[in-house]
Amino acid sequence: MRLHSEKKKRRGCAFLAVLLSVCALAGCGKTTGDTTGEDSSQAGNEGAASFAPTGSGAKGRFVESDVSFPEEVTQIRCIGTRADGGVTVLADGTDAEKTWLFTADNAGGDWTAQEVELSLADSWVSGAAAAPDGSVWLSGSFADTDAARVKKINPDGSVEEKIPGMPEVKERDANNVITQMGIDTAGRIFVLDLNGDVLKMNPETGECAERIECGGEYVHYFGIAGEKLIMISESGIHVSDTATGTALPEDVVLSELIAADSSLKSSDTEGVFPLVFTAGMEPGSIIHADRSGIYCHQDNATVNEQLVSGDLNSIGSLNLVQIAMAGEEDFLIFGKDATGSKVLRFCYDKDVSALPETELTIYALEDSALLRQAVGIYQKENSGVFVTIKIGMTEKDGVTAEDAVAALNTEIMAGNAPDVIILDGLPADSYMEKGLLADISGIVAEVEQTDGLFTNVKNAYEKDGAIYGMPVRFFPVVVFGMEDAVRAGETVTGYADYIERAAAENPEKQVVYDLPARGVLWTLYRADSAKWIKGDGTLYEERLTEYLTAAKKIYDTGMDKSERRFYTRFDNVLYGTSGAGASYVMDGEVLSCYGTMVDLVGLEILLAAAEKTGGDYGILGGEQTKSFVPHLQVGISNASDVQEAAEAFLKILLGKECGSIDQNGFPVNRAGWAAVCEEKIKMYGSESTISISSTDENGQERGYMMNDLSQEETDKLAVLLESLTVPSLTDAVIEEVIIAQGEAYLKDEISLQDAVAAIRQKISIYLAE
Amino acid sequence: MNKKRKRILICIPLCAAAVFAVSPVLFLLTGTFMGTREIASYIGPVLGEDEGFAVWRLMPLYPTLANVVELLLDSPEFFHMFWNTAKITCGVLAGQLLFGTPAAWGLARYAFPGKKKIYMCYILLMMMPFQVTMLSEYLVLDAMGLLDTLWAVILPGAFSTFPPFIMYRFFCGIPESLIEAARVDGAGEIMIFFKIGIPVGSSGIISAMVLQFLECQSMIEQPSVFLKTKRLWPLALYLPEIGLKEAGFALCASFVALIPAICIFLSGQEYLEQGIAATAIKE
Amino acid sequence: MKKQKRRKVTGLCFVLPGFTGVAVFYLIPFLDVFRRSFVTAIGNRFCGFRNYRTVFSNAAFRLAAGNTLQFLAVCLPLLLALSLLAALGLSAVAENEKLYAILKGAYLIPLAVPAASVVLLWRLVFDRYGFLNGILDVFGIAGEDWMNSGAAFGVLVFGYIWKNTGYVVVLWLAGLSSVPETLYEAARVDGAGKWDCFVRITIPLMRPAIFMIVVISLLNSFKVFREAWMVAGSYPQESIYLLQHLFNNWFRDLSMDRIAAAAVLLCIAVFGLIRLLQRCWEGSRQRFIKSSWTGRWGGFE
Repeated sequence: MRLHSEKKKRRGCAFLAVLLSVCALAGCGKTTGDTTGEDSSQAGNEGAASFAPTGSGAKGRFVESDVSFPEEVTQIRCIGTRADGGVTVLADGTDAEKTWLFTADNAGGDWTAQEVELSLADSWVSGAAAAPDGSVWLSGSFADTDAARVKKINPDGSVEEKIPGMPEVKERDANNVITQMGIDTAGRIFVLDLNGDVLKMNPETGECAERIECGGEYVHYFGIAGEKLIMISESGIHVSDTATGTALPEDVVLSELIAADSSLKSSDTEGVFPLVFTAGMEPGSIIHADRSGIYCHQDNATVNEQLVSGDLNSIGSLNLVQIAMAGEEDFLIFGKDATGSKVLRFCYDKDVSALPETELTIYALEDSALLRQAVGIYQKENSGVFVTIKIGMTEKDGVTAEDAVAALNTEIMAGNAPDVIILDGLPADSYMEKGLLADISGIVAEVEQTDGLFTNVKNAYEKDGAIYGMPVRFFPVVVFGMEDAVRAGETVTGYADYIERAAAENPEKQVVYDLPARGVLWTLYRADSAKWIKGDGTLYEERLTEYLTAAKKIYDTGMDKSERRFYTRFDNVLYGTSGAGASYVMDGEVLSCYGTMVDLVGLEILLAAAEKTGGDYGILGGEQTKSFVPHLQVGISNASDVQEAAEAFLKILLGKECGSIDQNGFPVNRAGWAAVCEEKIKMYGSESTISISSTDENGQERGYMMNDLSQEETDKLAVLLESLTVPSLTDAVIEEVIIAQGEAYLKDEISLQDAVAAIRQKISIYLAE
Repeated sequence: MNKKRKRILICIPLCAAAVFAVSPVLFLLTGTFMGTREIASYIGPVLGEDEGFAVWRLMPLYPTLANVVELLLDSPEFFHMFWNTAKITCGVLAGQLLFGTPAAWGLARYAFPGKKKIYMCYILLMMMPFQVTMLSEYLVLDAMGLLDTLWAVILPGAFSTFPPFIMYRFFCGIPESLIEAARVDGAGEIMIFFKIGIPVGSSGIISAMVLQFLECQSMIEQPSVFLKTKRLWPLALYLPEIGLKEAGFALCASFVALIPAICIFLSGQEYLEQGIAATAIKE
Repeated sequence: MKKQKRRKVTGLCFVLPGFTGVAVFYLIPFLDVFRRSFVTAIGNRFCGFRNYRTVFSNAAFRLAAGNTLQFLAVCLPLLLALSLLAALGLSAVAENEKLYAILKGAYLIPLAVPAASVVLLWRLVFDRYGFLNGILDVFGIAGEDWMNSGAAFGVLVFGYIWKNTGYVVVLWLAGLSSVPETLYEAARVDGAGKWDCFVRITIPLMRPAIFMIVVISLLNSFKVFREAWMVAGSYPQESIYLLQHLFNNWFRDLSMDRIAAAAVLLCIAVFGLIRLLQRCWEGSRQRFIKSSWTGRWGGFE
């Protein structure tokens, strides 16, 4: 080797030095880099809760329980803290047409009920707040008059009425109404109006004249903690003094919270809020709650202490309305979920360990409200178990299914398999083959014995007497239209031909409820995919070709591909598209529609449309494939060391209580199904018809009449559901490939042959591996 | 005259090939200073928004720093991954300096039992594609509890056998007389390594480091298998994730990712060549 | 004598820390992989050659192995030939030092470009409506959908050549310069032409270098997977579905038994290929005794 001159050597050293300094820089950059990373993980769903007392030996934790009210109570309206530390709850019962004011000295105490001289049946309550003197204020329109009113309900049950004096609505021709109410610890009343202004109300006259400045911005919602008015607008949080109305210095904790998660800025649903506030025991401290838990921070503090973790409790599955302190250290939370409104109590128990000893991990590829509710139910019965839900694909991080599955498999390999696996989208067969899943047939049999199951679904998952994974929900893809449409819809191809013919006969008209390319493919995939894969793991190409051809025919009947799409966006989420489509059929805008039917509300709309148009509904592909879409397929890891807890959770998920929730598909549990039906049959009580109006994606108002369901109709649906024998494909990797290629074909980017060839190639390799 | 013409004849294809080889870098450079709109108008057909075929310009029509600003100021993600790459690179290089250099020196300058076998092992491992050792590495990292940490990428890299091989070739080239002279002067073996081995073999060490540095910059397989958490990913995994829709941003990010490698390349090209040549030729 | 012994220990001390790492991260676990290739994935029961049979009967494996072999068969000769041409061209213009340096630098640049940086460019060039088809269109040639048809194989070959030519050119140049000028002079005196010199002196003398160049090119050919994977994902067009894809996908799919068996097979194949090359070289070496390189490992020592 040639020796280098001195100069060159030096250059080499200098070069090395540069290299090393880059290293050093990298080391320095570490701090900044890591912080951003942590932020993102905290914002995500996976972050395990950070508790104030860490270490497994620490004792003391808030334990959740339901506050139970008499049977007649169907709806909670408002909760609040009195000046003496007691709590007030306003609730009413639709059937009884009665309203009660419940009071208690502390959260755990006995409730005394005071009947109120006001029925809230047929009224619309837009805002409610409890005052420190024990009275409750309601705003809205009440049965006696259509105009907006404010009612003050005194602790003795008497009611006073005020006429709210509201400013004019800006730039719109509408009557101004109160959309939210709040009362501070001194009894000052604040309301939010349609202009997005927070106004102070004169409790004597009802006049709302004094406007609280919020940097000139539209206020999405507000909260009150002690004598602080917390207003949330697009730019973030603004805190004002309730006594003077002047702005207070920035609250660093809250500002950071909002900055980290913009979804906290506003709520999609009326009457529920991403953040709720109340005052803590120490003067000036603010307690706030969101889905991730209950937190407390002192005035001017920069640290936020978590009191209650949303992961450990059912707050995680609740839409929050109000929070109130009860006694010295307990909380009441008022929120809503699919089962209705409820009040949860959080009592500090210094004897239970801070972190539950048993940890149960649940994995799901996609988040599910139903799953979170099931966790809530489970958690109430098993407060000694720490439940963590891990979500593989969240909207935020934009991970593909393939990556998420890869990540999960890495975890499994590393011996960190989740205890309960929601198999939707995962390669369930491969897991079974590799012996990752435990046989759950014992639990299934147990549930079947007590509640009964849709055996057609169970049988589809039984292999040699063992069940390694099974859905707790399932739903069909239905077709709606005149009789010929329904008959044609017995096969997907037949339906496509029918649509094509109808489009030719009605050149001026949109014939089928129009979905974007992904939507068409997504829906038909669910109706048709069950029989695409041969026993030896290869693909039936003809069937795939038929599917794509059918999708293309239907897609091509769309009037104008750029504008006249009813749906501008179509996320691959569970969505009862048949119901949405049926409302267009009802209005005569389209002749037929198809889509998933995921709850009884969907059935109601179809029946309403049937009554108006004389049409009917049936299962799409009901003759050919007879497939159902499985949802929330549960499996238990063989390697789980908390086998019992996992089984208990499975029982909850498969059980009647969880099954009685009418969303995300129909319950496999028969008792749950019966409960769902019963609920719907008697839902509207004496009046069997109700008019519903909603605003569609294009801002168009549409209304229709819906009748109560009858036993016959639910029975008819049950028979249809029982006829479905095979689950549609759920492997997300396969679906991603097929829909991506299909979309290109539908949009004329590639030919049918190319699309099929590309799918065959990728899928056949995937299946062969 | 004839000779000159012949030389020009040779030059033309050579130069054409050179332009061709460099063109991607030029492409990234131009793209970095193009506005998002301008890029979209060129590559519209690829995005399915336009008819015809994608085109490109050698110079941006409306040069702008918008994408650079967005990248440098508004994408913490990018920076995070950039630092991940930096951390991995530094860890691997430091490990190689610490363990690889003495190993190469020992193999090159000393005779001891089993030397030939150890040398064989190094050569064979150098030849094996990552896929052969993937499962082995995984099992060890799993046992050590290092999966899903940057160490999972750094440690195997720090012990990869390619750099010691290069250094070995250089250390072999140091004349024995030089070392003997030092021994006669009473220098200890460690002293000899530091006073003669490292300085005289410095070009070999640097060559090995340059090659390993470039290797680290495009490491894909290891992180994709051993790192699950996205925030641990190096840039190489992040870049392909940026879709064509954000082509301007992607081009800019790709270019910034390229800068360290190009800098090392330009300042160490001589060493790079020596390092490469050392694998084939013994002097 | 004592000194000699101490020196042995010193040598071992230098090597040990690094070698321990190598042993811990590569050698010892590979023994475990070897063991695993003979046991079932679940239950760890001995199952003889079942895993190997599964691997061989797997359609995806056969496809991937075939593609990988085909890729090597096409790429290696092409790369060697192209880079030799470039190297000869370069040495012809070596007198113009500046040009020589610039050209060599330009050829080496692709080596420095991180694989991820060019992914976007690849997509733009080889798209159905990309740059390449645009250029072809100018000449009235109908393009291809490069990444989604058999042409993807060509794209992969192209990427490999682009990336590695510079590397191999440097290797060739080093090899060429190692041939002593005096031999050429002597030959020319004997009346040998340029071609004669090349065939009779350059090639024979460069045999050990050629052996190494082939081995290094082989080594680098496994890295082409990076580009292929980043551009086309885990399931690319059939013709560029390589063993690396399969390994990655199996890994993701927890098929440890298959990976273990396939890793052992791949190891044997690579080792066998190298021995074969070496055998070729050694066979020819006996005919060209003049060669000054010795040793079992040929070019390595």
